[in-house]
Amino acid sequence: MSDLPHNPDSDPSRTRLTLLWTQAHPLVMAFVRSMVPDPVDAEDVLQQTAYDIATNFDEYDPERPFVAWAIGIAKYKVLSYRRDRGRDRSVLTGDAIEHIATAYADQSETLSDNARALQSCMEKLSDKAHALIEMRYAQNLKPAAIASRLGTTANTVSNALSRTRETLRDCIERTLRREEAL
Amino acid sequence: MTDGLTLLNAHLNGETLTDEQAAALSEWICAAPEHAALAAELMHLDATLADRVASRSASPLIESADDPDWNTMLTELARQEQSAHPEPINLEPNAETTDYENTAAQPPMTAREIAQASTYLIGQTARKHAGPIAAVAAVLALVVTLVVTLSTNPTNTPNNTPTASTPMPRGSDTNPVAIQPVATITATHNAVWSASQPAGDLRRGTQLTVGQRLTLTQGFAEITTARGAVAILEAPATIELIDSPNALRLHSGKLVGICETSSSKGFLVRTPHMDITDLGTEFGVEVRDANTTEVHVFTGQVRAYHTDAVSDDELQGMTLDAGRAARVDRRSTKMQLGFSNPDAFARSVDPEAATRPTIYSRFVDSEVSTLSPDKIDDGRGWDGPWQTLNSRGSLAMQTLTQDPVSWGASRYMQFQFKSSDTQGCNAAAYRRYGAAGEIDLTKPHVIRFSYRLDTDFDGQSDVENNKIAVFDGAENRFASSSDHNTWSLHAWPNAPEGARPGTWTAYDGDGSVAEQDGGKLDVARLIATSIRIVPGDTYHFQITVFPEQAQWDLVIRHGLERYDSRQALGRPMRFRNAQPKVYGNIYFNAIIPERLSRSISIDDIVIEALPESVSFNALSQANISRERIPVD
Repeated sequence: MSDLPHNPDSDPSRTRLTLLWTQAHPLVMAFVRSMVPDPVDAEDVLQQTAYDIATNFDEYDPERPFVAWAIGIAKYKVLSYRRDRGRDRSVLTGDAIEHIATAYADQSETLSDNARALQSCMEKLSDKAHALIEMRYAQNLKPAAIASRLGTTANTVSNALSRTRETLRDCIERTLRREEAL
Repeated sequence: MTDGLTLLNAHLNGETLTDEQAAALSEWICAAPEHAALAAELMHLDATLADRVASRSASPLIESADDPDWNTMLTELARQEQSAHPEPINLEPNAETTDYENTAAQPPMTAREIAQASTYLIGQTARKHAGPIAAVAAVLALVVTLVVTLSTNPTNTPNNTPTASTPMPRGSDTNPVAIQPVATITATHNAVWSASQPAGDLRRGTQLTVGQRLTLTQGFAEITTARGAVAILEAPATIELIDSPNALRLHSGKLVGICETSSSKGFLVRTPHMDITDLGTEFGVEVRDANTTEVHVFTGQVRAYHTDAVSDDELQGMTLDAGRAARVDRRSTKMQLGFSNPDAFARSVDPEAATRPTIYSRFVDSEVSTLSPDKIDDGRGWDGPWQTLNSRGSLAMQTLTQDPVSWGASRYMQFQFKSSDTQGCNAAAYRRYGAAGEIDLTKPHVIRFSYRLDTDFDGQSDVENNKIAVFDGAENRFASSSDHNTWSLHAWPNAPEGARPGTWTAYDGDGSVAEQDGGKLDVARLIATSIRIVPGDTYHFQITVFPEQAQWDLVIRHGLERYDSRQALGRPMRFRNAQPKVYGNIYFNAIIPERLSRSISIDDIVIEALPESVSFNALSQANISRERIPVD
């Protein structure tokens, strides 16, 4: 999902941008998605971010990590989305968005490692935890809706979801620590 | 920290936060860099999960709740989460938002809190660094950077955000707050700590510093303060290290404090509504929920203070002696007094003791399947769920939390026996152990449980048709006066000859009854104890069986009253049946005449093997010292 505006000129800097963007894309996407809950709006914000990155690429200082720069631009896009349309749809305040962006940029390497380790950890989940994740993330159901399908309470579902994420986090940490030891 | 994390999880789970909750979440994220770091990590995981799941080909989806395993799984998944967050967020529309308002209204961080916050990061920074020196330097760097960050209130660009790699001058004079270990983890058994903390570092030998908050989600852990007081934690429990070399804060769960040295005297356990100071003792504390805290004194004395006390008298606190317990309920400033229940607390993490085969049923909320009340499968080590048998009338089972059977416990099981207008009731609930290999039915073991008669015990009927009993018997043979019993306990409102009415009575068999001999009690063999049955009172039973010798001992505790058959008779009692093993079925039986109902509640059933080396005499001593009943 490379959302860069198509540019027929294939000069070296274009190639480098494409390469850098391909690497940074998952993290920027995750950041935007976590700041903009509505998937359609998130897609918009991501496109705008990609556009700004492409058009301002000559301002990028190659001494600095590209991801941090990209997240910085995404942050401004999220903040402006929030100002323009989404204030009532946005859970976090501007300050909090700022802090999260900083944390994303600071931890970019760890987060990318986490994303890599996630795949094998998802495979280790029980079938039921899988199905729960499926309902929450693929079908985008709220806990109350999941609860009514499963004949339990929203709180139980919510707790189970939190727990499942904790389990994944544990597994990711263990996986990475094991890799480190090798 | 917990409030913010709970809100974040709720948000990620798809719950709609109220405006106040959303504001509290933002505030929490801004409050400290490590909050933002944790939030970013979880949000990233959430978004990445969404991406992965959406891009995968759809797997079969669950459409209905017909699969009963769902509830067990969800409860199991939720269990540890709840233990990590003892006050789960209430997402009902009219939820109290006090907690979040409090979070929002927190005063600026003090230097002490900055030091506390920095200790949270030890685990994370240490992982990325070569050795302990780097970790220490990193902590110092964090402390200094946090002070700078908070005093200048910058806009946090990536360059001035505290990072572990910032080079810092070493030496204690650059360190605004000295971080001294205040306690050490001295033993663990099957311990699992909450992953939202630097869990990798929590093991035997780990030193703990002020401000660290630890959640034990499974197993047991022993923590020794710098002054030598020992705290034994039983999961689920959350503690926090506070600014003292001889104190802990217990946020939730159970802790046993042991102070055997003079330097540890004065050990302080702070809880949400009660402070407990040790006066040279062994005691248990349970923070059961947001409102209720209990202290149980096993030996020595403690002084307990109600932290919400208003009057001078109440502020003085109260000295509690061994055998006593006190309960604080937030809704009252008065402390309630009761009797301590040592069986409700783990008093050692000694690996040998902890790995001894154990079967228990404590009706902890999350262990109870709510799907099928008549097949309640809880605890561990049993061969299967509870079973019921009846020849007439009906027996229903349910678990309740109102009015617990014993202090130090919450949920318990109630058996409801009911007869019809024309016919009495004779029924029993039983549970089987032994086949799973946890306990060898031919070897000595101890069975303990708490028992309460919830309804009147009146003698309006003949002996045969009105009694209660607890016994070991053959499967599907639930008569308490049959040749298929080994040990048995009986009580009649209207006692037969040889027994006292309304009094617990043991059957001292002759060890020679064969299974086909039938079921008549030999009244000459009834042993009346000194313990009368008072409806509503709780009795703690301890039955020790020696199958090879076909012998058994009985101890009953009722408040400060105690009966010990070995002491009273000067010898063990004998099984009714001659077989060199127990059947491994614990029956709770009631027989009632028509037009009556009777409820019996039980809790804390524990079955433990006895070490082979324990001789009869030593065992008798061990029983006595374990009970540790106080002298008035």
